[in-house]
Parts: sequence; C-alpha cells; structure tokens
Amino acid sequence: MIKTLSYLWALMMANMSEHTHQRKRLFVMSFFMMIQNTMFFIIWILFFQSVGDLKGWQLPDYMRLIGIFASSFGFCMFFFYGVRNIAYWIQDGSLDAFITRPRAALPALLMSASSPASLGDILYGPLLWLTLGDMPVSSLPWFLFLAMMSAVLLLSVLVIMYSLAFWLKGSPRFSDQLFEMLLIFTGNILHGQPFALKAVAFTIIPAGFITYIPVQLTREFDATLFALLIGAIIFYGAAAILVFNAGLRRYIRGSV
Amino acid sequence: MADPIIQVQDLTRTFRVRDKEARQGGWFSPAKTKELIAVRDLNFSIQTGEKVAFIGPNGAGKSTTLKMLSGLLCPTAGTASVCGLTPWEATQALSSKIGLVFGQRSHLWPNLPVKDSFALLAKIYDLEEGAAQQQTDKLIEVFGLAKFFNQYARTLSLGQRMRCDIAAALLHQPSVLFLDEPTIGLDVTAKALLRDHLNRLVQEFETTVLLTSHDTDDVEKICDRVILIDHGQKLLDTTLPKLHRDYRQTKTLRLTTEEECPVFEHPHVSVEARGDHTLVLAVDVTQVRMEVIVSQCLERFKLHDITIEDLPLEEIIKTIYQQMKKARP
Repeated sequence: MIKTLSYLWALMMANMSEHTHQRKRLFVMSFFMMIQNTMFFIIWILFFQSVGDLKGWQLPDYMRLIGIFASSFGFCMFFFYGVRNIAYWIQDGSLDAFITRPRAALPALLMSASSPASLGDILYGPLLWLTLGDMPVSSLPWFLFLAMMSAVLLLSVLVIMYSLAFWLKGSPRFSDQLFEMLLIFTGNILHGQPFALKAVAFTIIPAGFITYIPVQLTREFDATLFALLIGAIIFYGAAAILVFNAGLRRYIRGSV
Repeated sequence: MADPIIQVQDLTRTFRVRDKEARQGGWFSPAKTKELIAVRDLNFSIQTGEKVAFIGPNGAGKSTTLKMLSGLLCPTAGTASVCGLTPWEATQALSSKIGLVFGQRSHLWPNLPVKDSFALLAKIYDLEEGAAQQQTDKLIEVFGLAKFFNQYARTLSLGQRMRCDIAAALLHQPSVLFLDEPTIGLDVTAKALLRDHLNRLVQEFETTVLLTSHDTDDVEKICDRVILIDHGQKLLDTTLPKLHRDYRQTKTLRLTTEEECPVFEHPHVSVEARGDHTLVLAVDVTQVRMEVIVSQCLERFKLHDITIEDLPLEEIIKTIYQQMKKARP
C-alpha cells in the first residue's frame, strides 16, 4: 500500500515537474485563464441583473455552480490532463509504453500530462464561491469537499468518454466532441429544465451529478441527494475502470 | 540443452482491413474488407544469452511478431512463450522480465532529468533502493551516461537519448531485451557507439537480445544469429557465420595498379568498376579459386595494393530475397 502510494506520488511529482522549470508560463497562463473566466461570467452577471432569478435560482447559486465546476475541472486538467490523450494514444500506439509496465496503465496515463492554465481554474473556484457566491470563509472546507467529489466524477466520465476510442476506430476527435458537450451541460443551469434534458444530464452526460447536485446541497443539505452523489461517484468510478480495462483487452486482442 | 527463453510455435496473426481494390458500396452499406496475413505459421526458439536479428523488408511482420512477444498483441493462432509466460495472457507479469526499446519512442520523461526518470522507473518496477542504485551505477558506467545523467531528457541528442533509453530498459535487469530499430536516425558515430555499448551490455548482463533493424551493420556488429522473414513467413534461420559461408559465392577483389587502365577478363569474373589505376572485380568463388585469379592479376599487373572482401550482408540478404521471389509460385 505504502509502495503504491509512493509510486503514485512519484508519478504526480513527475507530472508537476514540467511546471517547476516553467514557472513563468504557469503563472501567466493561469492568470489569463482567470481573466478569460471573468469575461465569461460578466455575461451571466448582466443576465441575472436583468432577469433577477431563473426559476428560483439567483446569481449566487449560479456562481457557486461555476465555482465548483471551475475548481473540479481545473483539478482534473491540472493533475490528470493525460485523460485527454487516451483516445489519441490508442490510435497512434503510444499506449504500448504504458501497457508494458508492471503497473496498472490508467494512473500513469492520467498523470502523464498537465495543463498549466488549469491552475487558474482551480484558484478561480474558491474566489467565486467567497465573493459572488456569497458564502462565508468558514464554508471553504465544504466547498473543497464538493469540488473534489465533482472532480472525481468528472474524471471518471472523461475516462469513459476517451476510452470509447477503443471501440470507435480512427475517431479520437469524437471523444473531444463528447468532452465539449459535457462542459456545456456542466456549466449550465439544469434547474427547471425539461425532463428529457435532465434525463440526459443524469445518465449519458452526467453533468447533473458533477455540478447540479453539489450546488443543491449548498442551498439546502439533503441526505438523499448526498447519498445519490456518493452513489454516482462509485458507479461512474467503477464504470470508468471497467470500460478502460475492457478497452485495453480489446486493444491487446488487436481489434482496435 | 536448457529450455529456450523464447519459444514460438505456428504463430499467426491476421488483420481485417478495408479492401481498397474492391468496389465499396454506398454510405449505408458496410465497408468491404479483406484478411491481411501479417505473420504466418512462424516457428523459432531462442536460447538464453543469444543475440538474434529479426530482419525483413517493411511490412514483413517483424514489428507484429515483436508486439506479440512483448504481450501487446494476441495472435490469431499459434502459441508463444517468453520467460515461461504466454505474453498476451500475462502482459504485466512479463513486463518485469523483458525490456523494450522502440527507436521512435522514448521511455524517459522529457521534462525530468534522466536520473529522475531512472528513479521513477525504479518505483514502477518496484526495485529496492540499494539494488536500483547499484544497477543504475553499472548502467551509467557501461553506457557512458555520466556526462548527461543530470540533464533533462528533452535536451539530449538522439544518440544520447537512445543510450539512456536502452539503459532505462535494463534497469530492472530483464532477461530478454527487444530492440526495434534502435539505431534509426542516428549518425555513423552515434551508431557505432551505441553498438559498442550494446555489446558490452550483453557481456555484462547476459541478456538475450531480439533485434529488428534495417541496418545490416547493426546485425553484423551485435547479433550472432539471423532470422529472415518476408510476408510474415520465415525464410531463413541461421547463424551469421553460416550465412556468410553459405552465401559467399562472390568475393570482391580490389586492385590498385601501376597501369593506368587495367583490363582483366575471365569467364567467372565480372568487372564491377574500373577507374584510373583501379579495378574492382567480382569473383565467383564457386567456379574458380580465388588464388588462381590473384596469381593471374599478379602476373598481368604491377600491383600497388590488393584487397579481398566478402559480399556485404546487405547483398547476401538481397540475394536471398531474389532467390525466394523466383522460387515462389
């Protein structure tokens, strides 16, 4: 167990090492990511200023949603950007290097790349939570917990989406399209949306679990919703490992 | 004799590929495919410590075989055993017993100093700290890595990177080393250096080597046995000296003469090249003894220099392929 943790820590450090000698790039890209986020949220601020609320949701609710989303997304992309390479590496054979090691391929794959700009997303989350999200400093641990839960879910869903390349020959771009679709769903308000949309958002593209439920929990804690969130994390986490491993077996069979 | 470390029996791998020659249907009809045989009924075995070259033209099935032997691909039929394991059924277990080097891909982390990549690999292979350090020191010495061991991998030259890559593949002391085009893209000096290091490695660690390369110098300088394949089938499996012996039908005779335009005629000798004071002859030694030709040359010319060369391995391989092509129905 200790050896495994030490190995995972070493992988993480290797992944982060890119930033240690390119610190200027890390800070500049993170800063501009925060500026970019601000430009995007101004539109929503103007929107809420003119409509007041959206079926009971007000600006602070939405800012909490975006706060959780930004941090969880940033966390995934900063530490596990390798997930976005899975589909491409299946196609070009780069996956071979990960399979021919006496360790599970998935952790090494996930921690094989890092997006420097995503540090800006990680930091932007609590900033929004405390300012426009209208939450006290004492609620930060709660925010971090929800953001972490959301990040685990997001990462699991991304593993599934990018592992589809094991079955969809020659179309790694399709996984990118799914990724973009997930971002659109996750960053938008599902509250008061039609049933069909919610059905999609809680199954195929589980954006509802990634941001909507965590924000509902901040509005009013509900044990059922919390259990649903934990259940979704277990379900999608297990599904991600199963799908990836099934894909890997298919890859070795030479069917990819 | 001990059990072979690599044993391959009737190994076959086919792929279903889109048939480019067949008339494809419309948008909604399934694509017409055909079966492509990449490896067909391949049989061979390799003993511990052997250095075997696996050679053939592009698309011959070399890399497919290597992939199957390293557990990256299942065969369609046949069996194989590497270090007592069926590669595609025990990929992870096998990875501790083999080392893989693909000329085009690196095992090093580009953003880490080489020494940190080695430390990470030691964790991946779960090596004891002391043992890992001892092996690292040995590899630094054998491969001459000391000068750039603290450098970031992305700043290394291709030759340095390849030496580090091969050393990294040996950190966990594998019994078998698969080398796929290890000298591709290297200049002459870097190639020679790498071959020297590889030979030292084989002596030092008694590692079994299976090498694929298009460079016949790699084969001659590193290996002692050759397996020749084409269209997925084994054409020849022999030792390098035997290959030279069997296919040494022609020898090259290079003469530097006092005469400005030397001329030589013999029914079993062809003139390869002729220049000012030079003459290159190809002698068919199956028809005429070399000393006969040499003595005739000594009689006819005032010689400044004379050299006798064997047919280069590249020419031998070319000859074998031509013979096989003719023999094929």
